[in-house]
Amino acid sequence: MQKKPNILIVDDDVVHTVAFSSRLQRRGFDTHHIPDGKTLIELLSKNQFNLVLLDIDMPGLNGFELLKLVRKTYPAGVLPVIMLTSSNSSQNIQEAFLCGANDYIHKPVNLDAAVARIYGQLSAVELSRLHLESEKINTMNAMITTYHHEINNPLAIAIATLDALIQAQPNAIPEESIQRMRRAFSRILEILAAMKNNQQTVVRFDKYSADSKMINFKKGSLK
Amino acid sequence: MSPALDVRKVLIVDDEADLRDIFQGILSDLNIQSEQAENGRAALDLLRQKEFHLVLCDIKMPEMDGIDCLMNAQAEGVFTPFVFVTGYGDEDKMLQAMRLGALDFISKPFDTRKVTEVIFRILEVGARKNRIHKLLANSGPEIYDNYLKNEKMISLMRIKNNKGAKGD
Repeated sequence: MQKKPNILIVDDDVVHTVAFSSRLQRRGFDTHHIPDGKTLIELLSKNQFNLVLLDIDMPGLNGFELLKLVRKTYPAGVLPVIMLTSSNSSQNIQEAFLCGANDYIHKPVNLDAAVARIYGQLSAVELSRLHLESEKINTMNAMITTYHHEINNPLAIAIATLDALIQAQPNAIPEESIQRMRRAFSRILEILAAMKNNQQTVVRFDKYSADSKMINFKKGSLK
Repeated sequence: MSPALDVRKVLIVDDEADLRDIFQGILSDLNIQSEQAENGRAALDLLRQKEFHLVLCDIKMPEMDGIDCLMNAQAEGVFTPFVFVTGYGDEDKMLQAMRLGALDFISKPFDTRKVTEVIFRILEVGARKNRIHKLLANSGPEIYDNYLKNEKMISLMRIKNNKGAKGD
């Protein structure tokens, strides 16, 4: 079951936002709406939002100020924020990006364009998440290989030495001691095998190219 | 029957001194002489100076790894059979080694009996090859020269292919 992307809309224009919000829901998003930024930070910390639509002109703290607050905790690569602006001034747009916006949408909102921009941002986050994950797995795998090697070599020495001892003086070591050593060796070998099995397959990054965005786009939902 | 009847010499290449000693111990129990080298470069020096019947070679080593050692030896016309000692994570290198003409491999940790079995088998292969060499050498210098040229060409081709495969 795929999870719907969860979008938080911050806009004091309640009438328009309610309509916009329900249109987004019909396009496969979960939405949550607040009329000002008072509870924004608290909401973000308590809920898993995938993206924030943030109006610029609001009473109290405006969109820029709120965005700066959000960016203190949530970087643009983790939580995309798209600004909603009714003005066409390039200064506003510039200011939005300076404060850490990922994109902007003009009001009145064109739904198709908005959905496209939202998906663009969501896909970028998903891609960087996958990228990070594959980096992590790569590092982990390399570490496991190194440790495996470092343990395996002395273990090989120990096992071969025991073999040589038994062969040289067949009755010198009590059978019980030999068995104890063999049990210890096989426990280490089991750990090594488990380490091997814990190596994960790297996320095939090349498979999540532009077309995955298209698929998500059509389904109206994110992985 | 045992190839150890005539004098056989094995070169042990490993950066881990204890492992070298263990292999030497196994070999001396089989009445097989051996010498040690701590990395590919040292091994190559020895291979240039003396004749060996088998190289028992670790893969991961500082300075020069086992694969480079094999490749260099072949490029210089040294065709001593190589058996590689491998650990986990060496799979890619192992494939490369097999493509270059390595004859077998022993995975760590190893069973002494298995090591013995591999050593005898490869020494036997080497002995057979030597008999062919002698036969060809007796059948005239031209035939023998051609044979040696062919052998060298095959190994150069392997090295070339291997370099190509590394690039992708």
